[in-house]
Amino acid sequence: MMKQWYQVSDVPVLNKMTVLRRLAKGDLILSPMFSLKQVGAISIDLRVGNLALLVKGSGLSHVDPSHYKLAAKDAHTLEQSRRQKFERVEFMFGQRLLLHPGALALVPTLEWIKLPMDIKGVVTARSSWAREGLNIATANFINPGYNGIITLELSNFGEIPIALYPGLRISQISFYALDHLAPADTSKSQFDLSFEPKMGEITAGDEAFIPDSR
Amino acid sequence: MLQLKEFLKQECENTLQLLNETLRHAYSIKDGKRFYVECLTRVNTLKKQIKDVGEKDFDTQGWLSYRLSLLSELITRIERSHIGEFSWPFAEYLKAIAVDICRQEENLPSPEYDPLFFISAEGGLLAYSISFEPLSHDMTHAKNRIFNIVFPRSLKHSVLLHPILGHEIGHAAYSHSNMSQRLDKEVLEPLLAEGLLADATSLKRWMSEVYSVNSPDDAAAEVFDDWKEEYLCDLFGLVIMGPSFVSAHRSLLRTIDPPGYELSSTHPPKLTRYWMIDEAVRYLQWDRFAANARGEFGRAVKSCSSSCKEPLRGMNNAFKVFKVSSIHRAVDGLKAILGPIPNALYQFPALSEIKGMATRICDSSPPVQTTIRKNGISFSLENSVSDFRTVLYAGWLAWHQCSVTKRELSFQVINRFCDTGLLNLQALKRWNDEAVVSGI
Repeated sequence: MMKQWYQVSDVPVLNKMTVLRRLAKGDLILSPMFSLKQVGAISIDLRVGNLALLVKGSGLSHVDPSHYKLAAKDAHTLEQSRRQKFERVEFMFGQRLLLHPGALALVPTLEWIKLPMDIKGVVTARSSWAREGLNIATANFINPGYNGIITLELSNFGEIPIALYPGLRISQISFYALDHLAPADTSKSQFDLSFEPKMGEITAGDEAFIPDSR
Repeated sequence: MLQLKEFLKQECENTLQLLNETLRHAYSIKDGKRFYVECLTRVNTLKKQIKDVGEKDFDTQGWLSYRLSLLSELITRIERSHIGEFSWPFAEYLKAIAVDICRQEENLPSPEYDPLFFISAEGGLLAYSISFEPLSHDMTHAKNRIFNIVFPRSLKHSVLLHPILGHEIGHAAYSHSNMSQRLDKEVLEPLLAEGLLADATSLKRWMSEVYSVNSPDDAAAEVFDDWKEEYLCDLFGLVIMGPSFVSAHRSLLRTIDPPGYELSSTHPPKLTRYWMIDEAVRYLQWDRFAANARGEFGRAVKSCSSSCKEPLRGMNNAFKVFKVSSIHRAVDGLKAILGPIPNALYQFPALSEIKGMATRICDSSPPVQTTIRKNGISFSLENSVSDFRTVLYAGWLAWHQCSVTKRELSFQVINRFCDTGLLNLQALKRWNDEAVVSGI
C-alpha cells in the first residue's frame, strides 16, 4: 500500500545546525563521535573501522557475473566464490592496514549510522586524504531509512602504499533532505543492518542478460 | 639412532624456527613482542642447558626434553591465535581483569613481569577455558607466566555467552596462586560450613541419599575437591562478570545437561550450582530493580529473571546443599579479596543506564552511543564510559525485551550490537587516553 507523501523541506543539503538538531533529537544517529570538531559546515567526518576485506592474491581470477549465476545453483560454489575472493582481516586500534597502489579494500566505518526516512546520505573522501591518492567510494549514496555501518570501498590511486589505522577520519558524510518522505514500505537495502562489509548480489534481477555458461 | 642429546639440540633449532614462524601473524599490538622475547629466552636457556648436560645424564636430558616439548606446544598454540576468530574487544577487557588479579596475587615487582595472555579459538561449545602454567614452571629463566584463553570458534560474536569465562578466571586464580589460601579460608570454609557438602564424608552421604551412589572414601575425597572448586569458581565468575554471568552460565550448562541433575565426578549437579548462584544474586541485590522497573523494560527484567529460574522449578530441596547464610558469607569473603583489585568486582549500574542501553538495542542500534545535547543555541557532546559488563547485561535484557514485545531481533543480531558496543567502548577509551593516531 502506498503511503502518503508530503513535502518536508526546500533545503537539499543539511547544514551543521540542522544536522546537530537532528542528532540531538535522536532520529538521526551517527555514533560514536568523539568531538564536535568532527561536524563540519555541511558534513560529518567518518572514521576507519576495525576490519577490512582485501582482495586475495590467490583467490578468483576475475569477476564474471555468469559465475555467480551458475554458483547460485550450488551452495558450495556460491559460498566458495565469495570467500575465495576476499580475505577478512581484523585489526585492533594502533594496528595498521597497508593499502597498496591499485588495491581494493572494503572497510567499515567505525560509526553506526541510522537515517530517518526524510534524509539521504552521501559519502565522499576527505579532501586531505584524496590528495594522498586515497579514493573512498564509488557507490556513495546511503538510502533513507538505512541502519548500519557504511562500507567504504577504498582504493589507492597513488604510487606508494598508504597506511591506515582504525579511528582515522578519512571520509565524510553529507545529509540531503528529500523533497518528499520516502515511503514507509520502501524495501530495505540488501546491506541494511550490516555490522561489517559484505559482498553484494551483482546478478540479482539481471539474470536474463547473463549467459548460463561460458 | 640419533643420540638424545643430539636430538634435543636439533629440536631446539626446530623450536626456534617455529617461534620465528609465529611472526607471520600479528597477534596483539602490545604483547606480540613480549611473547616472542619470552619464548626466545626460554629456547635459548634450554639450548644452553642441553649443551651443558652430560652425555650420560639421561635423567636431566629427559627433563629437558619434556620442557622443550612443552615449549613447542605453547608456541604452536600461540600460533593459533588470530584476532579474526574471537571478539577481541571482549578479550581485551577480560585480559585487563585477569592481569590485575594475577599482578596482585603474585606480588609481581613491576608491569614487565605481568602475565601474558594469548587468546585462541577452538571447536565445540565447551571450548571455553583458560589454561596456564604453574608459577614455578620456567620462572627461573623467564619473566612472564603465559596464559591461554580459549573461546569457542562458532561463538565468535556471541559476546553474551562469554561471561562464562569469569568462572575460568576463578580456576586460574585458585590454582597455583597465593590467592588460593585466602579463597579456601574466606570463601570455601564459610560456604561449606554446616551445609550438606561440608566435607568428603557428608558429600558421600549426600550422593548415597540423593543418587543412591556409593563411592569409596578416596574417590569421594577427590570428588569433594573438584566440586568445591567448581562452586568457588561459579561465585568468582558471578561477582566478577555481574548478572550476565547468570544467563550465560545457565544457557551454556543446559546444552550439556538440560534437566541439571546429572552426576559427575568432576562437576557438581548443575541444579545445586544454579540455586547457589540465585541466592548469591539475591544477596548482592542485583534483582532489586526488578520491582521498580516499569513498562516494556520492566517486563523484560522479569522475563530474564523468570527464565533463569526455570530450571529450578519443582527442584527437590536436597539440591539446596548450602545454608543461605553460608552463601552470603562466601560472597562477602570474595568481595573482601577482590575488592582491592581495580575493576575486578562488578558494580551494578543505575537503572537508567542499563535501561537506555537495552532500549537502544531493541531499536536496532548499538547500546553505547554518543549523545548530542542542545543547550540554547549551542550543542554539546557526551560519551559516557560504561562498564563492558553492563553492556552484556543490557544485551540479555534486550533479548528478553524483544521477546516480550515480539520484536524480530535475533539473539545473534543482539550479540553483534553488544560486540559493536564493546568496540565503541574500546575506541572511547583510546580517545580518552589521547593515544589515537588521528590528528584532531
